[in-house]
Amino acid sequence: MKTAMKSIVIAFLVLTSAFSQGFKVKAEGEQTFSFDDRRNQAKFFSTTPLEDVTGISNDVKGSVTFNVNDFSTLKGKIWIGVASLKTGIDTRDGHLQSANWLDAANYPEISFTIKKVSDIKLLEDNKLQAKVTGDFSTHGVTKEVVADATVTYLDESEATRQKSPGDLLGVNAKFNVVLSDFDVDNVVLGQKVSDNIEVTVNIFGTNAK
Amino acid sequence: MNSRQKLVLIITAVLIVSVFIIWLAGGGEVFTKTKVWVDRTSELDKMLGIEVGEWEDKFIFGLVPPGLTATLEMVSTATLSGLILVVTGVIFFKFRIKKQKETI
Repeated sequence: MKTAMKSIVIAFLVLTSAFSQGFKVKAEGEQTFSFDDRRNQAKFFSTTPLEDVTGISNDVKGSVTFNVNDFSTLKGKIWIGVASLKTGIDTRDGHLQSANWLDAANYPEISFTIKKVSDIKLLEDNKLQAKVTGDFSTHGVTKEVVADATVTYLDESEATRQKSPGDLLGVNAKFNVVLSDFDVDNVVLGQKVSDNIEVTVNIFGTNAK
Repeated sequence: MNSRQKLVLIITAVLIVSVFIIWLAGGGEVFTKTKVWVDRTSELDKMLGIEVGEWEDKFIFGLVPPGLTATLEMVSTATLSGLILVVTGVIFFKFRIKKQKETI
């Protein structure tokens, strides 16, 4: 009976490890990465009849925790400061942050809370692709969105220390949000902005404490 | 139309065409901009699979002003051409008055 139980447990562990997808890097176990560098950015792309609008924020912060050998354990939250959103035109920035649009005064942050990770594909030993499902909150409304993410893990080296101490995690994630779902009146300067906004996040974090 | 008025019209046309040429040479942007996004992606950033950049102050001469709140943003092909036309109208009118006085 004991032998049968042992076999079942071993089989379960083997199967679990075979299906769990993670990085093949020096680090092991659970790692927490903090994202608080001013070079991190979140981009919001939309089209209008006259020209495409790109808003970029350099105020992107947050942290994620996951087991290096099993990326499906990913948990964490990313914040974007609405007041830092710039489009290259001061007048338009003012409109974007106004009460009619993102209402920066009442809703100063846009957030993405990770709930689930699926479709993990290991591209290289230190790079993988995954679909990250999370709660996207802006303008006081929260909706579930699915982001296509590419995540790269770099072990600490002489080269990485020039950027930041510790192991580095690079995240490139893309997803779409529908403005009307978030009660945003999508008219800026008399132009109708596309209801569909493409969001791209380019951030790196470190596990240095 | 006297010879002075004709000269004013020619100068106006040249100025307006010049303004449009400057606009086209500046990239033909619809709206005037005061900042541009500059790519600062390093080799390490490429290894991390991310793009890095920052906003840099730079004036881009547009076709129309995006608003009427920021002074610099009001400088555009449309506003400059409009201003040239207004000045032309005033000068054109002054020259007509002078001609009428000379006739009397």
